[in-house]
Amino acid sequence: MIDKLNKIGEEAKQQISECSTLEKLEELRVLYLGRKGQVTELLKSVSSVEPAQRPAFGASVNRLKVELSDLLDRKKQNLESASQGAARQKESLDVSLPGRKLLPGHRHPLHQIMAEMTGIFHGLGFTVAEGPDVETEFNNFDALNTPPDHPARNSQDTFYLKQAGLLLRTHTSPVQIRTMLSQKPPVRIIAPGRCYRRDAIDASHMPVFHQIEGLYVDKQVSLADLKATITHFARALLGSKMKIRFRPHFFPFTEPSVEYDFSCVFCQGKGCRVCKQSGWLEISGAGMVDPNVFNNVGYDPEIYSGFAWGLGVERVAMLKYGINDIRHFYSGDIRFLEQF
Amino acid sequence: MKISYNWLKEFIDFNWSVKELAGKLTFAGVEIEGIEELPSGDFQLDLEITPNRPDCLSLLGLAREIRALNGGQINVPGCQVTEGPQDVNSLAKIEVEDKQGCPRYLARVITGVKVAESPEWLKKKLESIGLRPINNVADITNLALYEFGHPLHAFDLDKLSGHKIIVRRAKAGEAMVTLDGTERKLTPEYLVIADSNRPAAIAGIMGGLESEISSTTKNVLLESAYFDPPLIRRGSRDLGLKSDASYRFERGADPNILEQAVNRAARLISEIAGGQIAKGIIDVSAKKFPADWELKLRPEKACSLLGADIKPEKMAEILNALELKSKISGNAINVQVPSFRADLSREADLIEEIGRIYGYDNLPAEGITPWPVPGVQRPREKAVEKIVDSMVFQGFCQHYGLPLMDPSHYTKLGLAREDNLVELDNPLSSDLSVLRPVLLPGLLEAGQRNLNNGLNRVRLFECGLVFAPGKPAPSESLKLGILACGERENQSWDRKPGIFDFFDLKGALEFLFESLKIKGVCYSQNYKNPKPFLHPGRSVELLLDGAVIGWAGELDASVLKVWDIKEKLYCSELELEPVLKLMAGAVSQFSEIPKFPGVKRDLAIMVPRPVTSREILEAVTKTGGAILERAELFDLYAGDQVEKGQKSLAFSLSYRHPERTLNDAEVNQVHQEIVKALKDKFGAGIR
Ligand SMILES: [Zn+2]
Repeated sequence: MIDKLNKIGEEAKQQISECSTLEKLEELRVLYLGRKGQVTELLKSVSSVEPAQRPAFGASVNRLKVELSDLLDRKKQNLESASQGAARQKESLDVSLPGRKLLPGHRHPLHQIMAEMTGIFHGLGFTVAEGPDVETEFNNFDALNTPPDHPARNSQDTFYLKQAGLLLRTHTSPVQIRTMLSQKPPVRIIAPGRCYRRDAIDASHMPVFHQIEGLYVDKQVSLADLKATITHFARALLGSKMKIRFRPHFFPFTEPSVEYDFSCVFCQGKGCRVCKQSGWLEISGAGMVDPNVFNNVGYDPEIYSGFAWGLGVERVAMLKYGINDIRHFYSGDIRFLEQF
Repeated sequence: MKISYNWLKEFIDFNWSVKELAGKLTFAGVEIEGIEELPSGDFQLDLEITPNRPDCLSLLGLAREIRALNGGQINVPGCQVTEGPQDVNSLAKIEVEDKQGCPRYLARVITGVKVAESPEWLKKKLESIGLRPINNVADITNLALYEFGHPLHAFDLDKLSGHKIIVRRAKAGEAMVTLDGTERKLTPEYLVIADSNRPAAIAGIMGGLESEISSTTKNVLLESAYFDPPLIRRGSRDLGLKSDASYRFERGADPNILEQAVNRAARLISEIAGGQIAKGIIDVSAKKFPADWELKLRPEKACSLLGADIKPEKMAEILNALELKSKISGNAINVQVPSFRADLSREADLIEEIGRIYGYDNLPAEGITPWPVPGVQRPREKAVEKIVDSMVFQGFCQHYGLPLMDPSHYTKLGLAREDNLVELDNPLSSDLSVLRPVLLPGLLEAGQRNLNNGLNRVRLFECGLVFAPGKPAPSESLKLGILACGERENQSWDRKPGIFDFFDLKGALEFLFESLKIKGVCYSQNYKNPKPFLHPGRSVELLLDGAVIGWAGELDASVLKVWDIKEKLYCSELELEPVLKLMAGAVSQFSEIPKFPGVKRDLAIMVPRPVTSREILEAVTKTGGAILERAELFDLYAGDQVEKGQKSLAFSLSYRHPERTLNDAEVNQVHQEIVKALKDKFGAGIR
């Protein structure tokens, strides 16, 4: 009987190891371990063994049963994972193919930079004020202390409407006038807006452009306050290393008047092609509100002082984003717009 | 204005290199735009002087700036003359008719001069500032101009008919040839220097060819006058003629330097070209200009305005160096302003003088006065941002169009050009001559450009102002314009993109209003204002609370043909003012998340084709009552599989009770009521 047991064990192990399908494996399990399987039969035939050897024989059969059961389980696992692997293989993708993207829209770069600028000034307590694009000569020039024969007023430079006394504002400064005429000091406003000048269209000129104007009027406002404000603005917009400088200048509506420069954003002030090796970029004009302007709006220049500054939005956007032609802003070219 | 570094040094000594000089002057307000090294080793500086500082248009004026910045002594060129015995009044007569245009006119006469080439030193000086030497007399007037900043003019006295000068307005029809060889037609707008017959010079702008100094000139009349700045500015502009003289007169010359300037030139002429200076100056002055005026400066005010702590003594020192004689007297400084500084008439002007010489670099640049009120986005700005957000989210690119429009674009949309355009008086060109009443033309141009660039997909929007005529000024209001065409979604290697159509446009608008939390927008085909540029069957008018706020739809083929566009275009334009008004200050309100499960039922019906889906949905919603949470159309069929004249629609209905679980019986009951209502109202068959 022991020989038979060994023979069945050898055969079973051989067949299990050669088995290649799950169906065949199940047949083998029935063949050896099923209710009428060969190993089960061996157990039943224990009575034909000599009584003294029966316990040992029984133990050997059970050992074989456990051994074969383990082998079958392990083989089953192997066969299963092999078949799953094949199925996964079939399902696999060329993951190098491009993904499917949504098509997002884009905010206009001028809109983005104006939002950023107004955000910076919100933080300083400035609130946006607005005025119309069509202005009166009074608000655009007279109230801003611009004499009637000032060159900026001629029809070469300023768009006039057929309707008498009206023009397209040449700067956002009339918003200062509107604000001061309608409220008492103190005032902290910024006025982002569209302006018009009669410039023929080229890479650096458009008849339509944008400015942001700021005005701060209170008791004891000084030119040093203006410097601090513009310094803060430059750093918030373009980085904490930014420096600014003032050059004396002349505007009819401010006294003293300055032009202000930013340290060059391209070379960090070391000198490069863009800044013509000077390390500085001219930005715009600013100054202390002229007493005549205060008189025109009914503020007492003996009690109040204030500063105002302007800024060309396109110019700063061109510097910040490295844009070389102002016409791009108004082209509606999606290949331009989707870069921002 | 161009000046020479070496020549400037003759006026005041300083130990700055040319670069240092340029830096110092620029930061004091006298901008140096360029530096050019000359073959002689000298440097030519190009100055950009602001219009309020005509006093800086001379070497003497620049020397004053340098003295204020650096100290030192100014060497004023010699102006003493040795006169001959002959009385000037016997040689020439001056008459000033236009006393307003010419409040002062001085003249000297030098007889027996020999006109020749200038000596080397003089030619070199003029060349160093970019002037071409002409002859000794003309060169000397130029030299004196750059020294003192006052324009002089030399006439050949013998070519002045009657040896007489009349300062008058030109007569209509008069003409003359100016020094540049151009014939100038004159009108009474221009002030001229005439002899007894005809104009010999355009006052303050340019001399005439005929009375020019030539090699045959023996006797010279030197003019030193003061002309009204606006008159010269207008004349120079209208003639398109700028000269060194007009540049200075239009900015305002010093009315009290006339004698000094004419004496300087007369002295040099007699020294260099020989000749004798006649006795006396002819002085025809209608007006006496004050030599100076007094201003009071409060040092305390200056410190407070500049934000710097500057001592009164330092202020007085700065002002004195600028030749503004200053004396501290108690809490103030009394300042005598000379007539060459007409720009200084108020305390604020003096404070600027102190600030710019003290140096703006020396002002502190840190620390911002805190503000008690936070700066915040106002409701209107917030609302506009939301609109932009919603459009960008939906894949539209924001366009900034020009508010200036070509009026023919209006007619190219099939619109009659009525009197509803705001016109410019002086447009740059006819294609930018009116303010836009609509956004569509600008978007169409942009759309066309993108299609021509080969893009398969265009989605643009603009939030922009439009204009309408009005009194006292045109009205301005904000509009939203939308333009879309081409592929609906992104191209992919395994999917063909759909093509944008009317329902994509409508969906974009529905999404927009949902994201703005605006309810009750109605899309109507019963136009109150029909639009000739829209396909009548594929467009709608948008109404909000019964008022038309805009339109949306497919552009009509006739318009596309005019604009030469091959693709189908979908556009919309909305008035934003009523929308912004509704949005102002609105805050999203939370509603409870449903706690109890809902029940879904589908409903498929067959109705006559003319019945609109909106009518059906309205009936469903009305009948469904409180427990009908949502009803959505998910299928529509009107093909061969249904009876002719009919269409089949399928709706998905969601029922839910907020406080308990619905049972089948109550859902069935409502569902049957809906079926019945549709049957009664539209003769709907249930499938
Ligand atoms: Zn640089």
